[in-house]
Amino acid sequence: MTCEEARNLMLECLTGSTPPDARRALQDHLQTCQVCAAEAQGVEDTVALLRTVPDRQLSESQWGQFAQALQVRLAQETVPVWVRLMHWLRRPRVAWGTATATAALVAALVVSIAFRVPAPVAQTDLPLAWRAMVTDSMTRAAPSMTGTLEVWTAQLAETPADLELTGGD
Amino acid sequence: MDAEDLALVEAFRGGEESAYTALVIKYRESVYRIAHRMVHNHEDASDLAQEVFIRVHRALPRFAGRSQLRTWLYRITVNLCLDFKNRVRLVPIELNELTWEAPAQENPAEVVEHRELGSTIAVAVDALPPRQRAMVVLRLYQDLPYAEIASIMGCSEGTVKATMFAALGKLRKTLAPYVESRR
Repeated sequence: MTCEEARNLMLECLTGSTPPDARRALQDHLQTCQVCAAEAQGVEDTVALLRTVPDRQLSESQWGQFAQALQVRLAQETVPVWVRLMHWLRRPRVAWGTATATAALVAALVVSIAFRVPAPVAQTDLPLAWRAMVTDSMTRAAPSMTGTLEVWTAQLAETPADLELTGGD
Repeated sequence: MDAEDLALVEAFRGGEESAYTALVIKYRESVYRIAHRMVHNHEDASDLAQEVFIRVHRALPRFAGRSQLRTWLYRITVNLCLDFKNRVRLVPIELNELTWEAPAQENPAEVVEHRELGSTIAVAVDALPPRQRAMVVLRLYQDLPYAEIASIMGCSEGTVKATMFAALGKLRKTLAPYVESRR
């Protein structure tokens, strides 16, 4: 064990609990190193002196005053509404009611989704078959209409330019 | 987390205010002692301890339980005390606050001597830098393991040991005449 290791361990040995093997190793080192032994003695004496001052003990009446003052200060605390609500909901008496209400709400939601009535189809929405029928009939009619227009255009072109369209006989 | 603490925390979260009272009763003495060792005044230590429990009441519903409840409580205590000492500096330690309960059989001269020793020790500890003082209090007077002190102080175990060694070195120098006289 080095002197540095011994000093690190010294503090633990003197102020707290250390495994027996580490304690033994330190004792072995202290027997061979006078510097560390003097250091250990100094630390040990200082710790012992520091520990001679006992903790202040409060009497029962002082603890009573402490509890009273704490209650007053707690009562003055402004707790946010949501925190109070959550606290209230978690109370054993309320918790069962909250759980039951939540379960009922979830069940109602599930039932409403599972047995949903389909919305009525709008009157303007024609079935696809009808739409196809209308489109086909129009396509079929279009070629004959085009032919008629071509005939009319050709005949109009052959009409003499000086022809007077006067009279009716 | 300690099983008893866990049960009390769960009960408090479940709405049982009496669980909080049980926690206060369980930890009030150690919290008060740390505060008193840090500020050396009953009124201030009592106020600080109350403030610790008010903060616990406020934060307990959100306490994640990653550390021991005790560690968390002591961290709040130390931080409040360090903050208090930063705000209120250079307040002389009152002699009647030094908590020295002289044994009944001691004669008046010994009582005076003990009071003087108590005062010297308190002044010596008070002269340490705040974090060193907190570590000395937690280690020597609360007997907390280094790992827990490291968790409270938010540093490594090695830092705690090095800081403690430095603190004890200073205290050795200050208290050397008293240490010598006791040999």
